[in-house]
Amino acid sequence: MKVDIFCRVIDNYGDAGVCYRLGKELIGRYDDIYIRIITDNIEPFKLLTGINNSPIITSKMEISDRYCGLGDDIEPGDVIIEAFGCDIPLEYEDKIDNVKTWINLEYMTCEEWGQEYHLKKSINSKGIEKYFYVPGIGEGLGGLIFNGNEERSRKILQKDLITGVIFTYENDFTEFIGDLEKVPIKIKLQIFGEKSKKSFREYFGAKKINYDGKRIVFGNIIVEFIENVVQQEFDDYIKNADFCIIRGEDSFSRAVIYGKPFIWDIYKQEKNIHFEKLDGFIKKAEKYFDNKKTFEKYRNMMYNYNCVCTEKREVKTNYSDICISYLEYSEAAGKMMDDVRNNYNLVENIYNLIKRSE
Amino acid sequence: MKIAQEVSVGNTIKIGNDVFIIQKAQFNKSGRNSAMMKFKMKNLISGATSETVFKASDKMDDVRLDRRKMKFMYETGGAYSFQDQETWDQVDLTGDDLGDALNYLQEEMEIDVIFYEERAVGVELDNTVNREIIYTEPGIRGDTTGRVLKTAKIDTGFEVQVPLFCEIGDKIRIDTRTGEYMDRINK
Repeated sequence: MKVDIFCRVIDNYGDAGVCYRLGKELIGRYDDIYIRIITDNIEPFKLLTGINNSPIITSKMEISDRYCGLGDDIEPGDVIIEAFGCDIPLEYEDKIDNVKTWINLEYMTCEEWGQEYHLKKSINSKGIEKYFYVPGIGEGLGGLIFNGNEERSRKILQKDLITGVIFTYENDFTEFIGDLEKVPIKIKLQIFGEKSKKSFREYFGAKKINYDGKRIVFGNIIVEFIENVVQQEFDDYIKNADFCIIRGEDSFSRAVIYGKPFIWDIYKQEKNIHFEKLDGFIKKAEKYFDNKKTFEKYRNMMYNYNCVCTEKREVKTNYSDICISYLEYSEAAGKMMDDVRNNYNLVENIYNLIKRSE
Repeated sequence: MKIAQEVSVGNTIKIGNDVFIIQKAQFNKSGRNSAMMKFKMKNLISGATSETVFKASDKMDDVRLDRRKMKFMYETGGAYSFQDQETWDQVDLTGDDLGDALNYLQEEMEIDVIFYEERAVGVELDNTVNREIIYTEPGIRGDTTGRVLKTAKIDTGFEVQVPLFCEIGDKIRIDTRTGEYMDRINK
């Protein structure tokens, strides 16, 4: 079964990361799938796969940048997935007569309204039905992308070292590091992505800290700048970390699947719409916390980090709590991980949707 | 041609050979400043209603049907009566025909009534309406940022999220396409 995933790379690595992961997990789990990712920018895919070719071809997947010039020879697949609402090129759409399943894979949300759109149908002038698929955690939502065979056991916290993965948009980390410096334990921060690294360089500059660009130790804090890694290696870093500050949807799903306490650096939108999206997740996360006070501290950290203005946010936040109350955050993260792994497998759901339409 | 985001209650669109009138329109922002729409629409040919979703950027073939400015007179037994102020003709529409327009309907309100093959099939609201708040909880003193919201009810019972500084008796402007508060007009 040929599954065409259309992917326009708007910014950062999220578009490519999600599409590649979806394709990879579909072919990893099911034998009857061949994936074609049709994109307008193949460069992020080269970084994610570690394959520096164009097109990128493996035994069950092909990634090409034909989005802007499909050519006459392309025949539509059996299944079409428009990622993040990207439009299908007209020359492809004109050829669609007999598609089995057409899916608009939307942005992830944990907000209640998402279930009013999830698996609802849309129609077009050709009379072909299309499903809207809304990823997310919660009843009536489409789940997250994962294989299902990932190792369930989680890393045991070391007594003398806590490791955090930092992969964020640009931010001022002064308050965050200031709080961590007061923790009576070594903390290793592994920094990924140019925006996070730029933010840390600015912090070092402001504090007049000399660094060699790769690793630096000051007080109890160890900072390591990690060079670009392929998707699987990045997954391993998150799996082996104790906590994360992550951005976007793909890293969010990794932090959840591996049961890591995390702060979500959410994509900023106009008119602060992202505050509602963040709240949508926080509301869903509450049920995994046994201790209400710990949940409130977690919520506070999320609001504070994302500069959310709300009457629920206390003025003072202490990021060191993620280390001090680590076991409680980890327990909540573990419950979320189990719930998602048991009930919200997007890959399985999409495959079942495709099979249902055959 | 419109995009889905520009389509509102009372608009008519053509998909294939079918003409639909929009009875309810729900707008939700998804990720990266994009959005989705959910329409409850009635097929004017078959009479069937359906709920359908679209990307806010999906192109819609909008169809302009006949419309007449009429005044909403009253409702009895689920029938909403509208009268043409020039010809004194009266037509009735059901609550389903009116859809989301019911959220803003007031007696004596002038509104465009849409006709298909000389039959009244719906109404089209202006993009904004001004309404008075009849109930809301008191807000926190001093909050003028407008970023924290609370629920306010207007006279139809429709609830709008408004800034904390809004009070009972305030007149507010509401975007009828999204149901969102726009601004406070005067106290």
